[in-house]
Amino acid sequence: MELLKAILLFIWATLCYIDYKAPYSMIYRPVVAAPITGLILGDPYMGALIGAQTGLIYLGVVEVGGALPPDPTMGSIVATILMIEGHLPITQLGSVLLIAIPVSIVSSYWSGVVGYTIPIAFIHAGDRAAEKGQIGTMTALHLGWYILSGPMAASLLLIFIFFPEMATALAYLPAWINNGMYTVASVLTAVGLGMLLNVSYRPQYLGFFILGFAFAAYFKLDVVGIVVLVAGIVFVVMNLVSRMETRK
Amino acid sequence: MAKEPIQITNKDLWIIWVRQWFLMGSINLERWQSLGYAWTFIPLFSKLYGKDSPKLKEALVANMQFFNTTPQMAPIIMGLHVALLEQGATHEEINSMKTALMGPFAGIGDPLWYATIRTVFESIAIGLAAQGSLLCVPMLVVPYLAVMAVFMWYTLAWSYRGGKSFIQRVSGEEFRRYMDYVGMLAVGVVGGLTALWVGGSTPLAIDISGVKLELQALLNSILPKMIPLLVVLTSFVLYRRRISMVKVLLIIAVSAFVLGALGIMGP
Repeated sequence: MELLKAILLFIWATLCYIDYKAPYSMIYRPVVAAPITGLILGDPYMGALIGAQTGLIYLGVVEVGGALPPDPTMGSIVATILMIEGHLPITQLGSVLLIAIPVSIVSSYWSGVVGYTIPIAFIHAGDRAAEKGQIGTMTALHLGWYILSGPMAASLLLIFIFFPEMATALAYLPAWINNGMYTVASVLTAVGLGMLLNVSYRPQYLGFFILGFAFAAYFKLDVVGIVVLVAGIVFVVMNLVSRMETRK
Repeated sequence: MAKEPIQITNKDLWIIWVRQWFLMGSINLERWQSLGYAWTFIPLFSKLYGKDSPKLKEALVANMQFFNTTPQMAPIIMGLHVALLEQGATHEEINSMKTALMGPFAGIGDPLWYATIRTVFESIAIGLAAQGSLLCVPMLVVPYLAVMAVFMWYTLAWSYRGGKSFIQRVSGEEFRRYMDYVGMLAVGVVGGLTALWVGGSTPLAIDISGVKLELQALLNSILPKMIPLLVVLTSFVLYRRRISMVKVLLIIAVSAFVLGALGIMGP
């Protein structure tokens, strides 16, 4: 591939990944990401067709609270590159996806796990800046990662363009390293929640922690259901308190 | 209920509206949108407390706590935050409000924005793209941005005004009591999120005379989500013992990596 095209594709992928953070204009969805990729490669109409088909695959893939975002962007960009550079007809999309989907799985790890772990260092530096009231430093840290996260996530596309085998190498890391990394990623939120519990905790609130946890763990309720139930119990408590006070 | 209300202007709300678009800028696995939230409020805090004042530092530190919700729903919480701040609520009370509301608004917001509103525009765009029309690009981007911008501004202004008129109606004593109830709700939400947002399980299995007994299945029948609960309580206890945030992070991360690598724990 020409260097100019590779650079333009990298810039486009960077913009898509920045859009995940702000302003969520949805340019990272296949129905936009693929046509623009096609435009860069000289065939936007083919890009639109690929965007429609990969878009349908990812239509049901929805970001949910606290879960890592799946990566429809890398899959559709890589599929478009393979189709247009290989001069393949749209009927060949299925076989191209066999290459594009593994790259997008590595990409959700790269942008969603590694890219969500590195900024923890920024947050801890932000704690120190907040303690000293250094608002300029806080701004630099926050917006600094916002800008850096784009090229960081898009770097996988450059690796794919120049060293295609390396882009899927992450999937072939020793199992113990993968297990270790995924386990860390799955429990890191506990560090933030433990800290939050530490500041909101009072001994008399312990019962509500147990209730909230039990509604989720045993009754498999989602967070809206939990809040409705816990709020109901809080109302009962409110009533009892005000009755006891009027009796005095 | 407040004695000296601080003057909040439309311009202050406007600055928050602009900044909250970047709420996700430094999103991460530990505290998610915490720095983004604190950053959104920097101009308002500076205006209220003055630059370099101890109160500014206190406000910034208080807002570096765990925060995560659907970004499109965050202005509702921020509007209430401004109203509470204006009426003299403490940072602790505000934190309870943020914690109690972030979970349910994520629960409502994700299906509303990603599964419903976006899917509507995206389906139309896919229809256009399938016919080879490049109108698919503006068809998704333009209406989605417009709906979001209008929604975020009106919910911010509405929750600020609604919150303000509610707080002004109740007496100071009543208000403190309500905030105590919000604190209960907040701790309940943290309990629920422990089970919902934290991962961790065990792949261990014991072979008893040909019958494979999976430890996780056994744990599930006693206390489901026991491992997430243990990890949250461990970090909570470490913070109680005044161990620094960086150390708690390292302790949890290193032990999770070792346990994961040894095959004792999994995601």
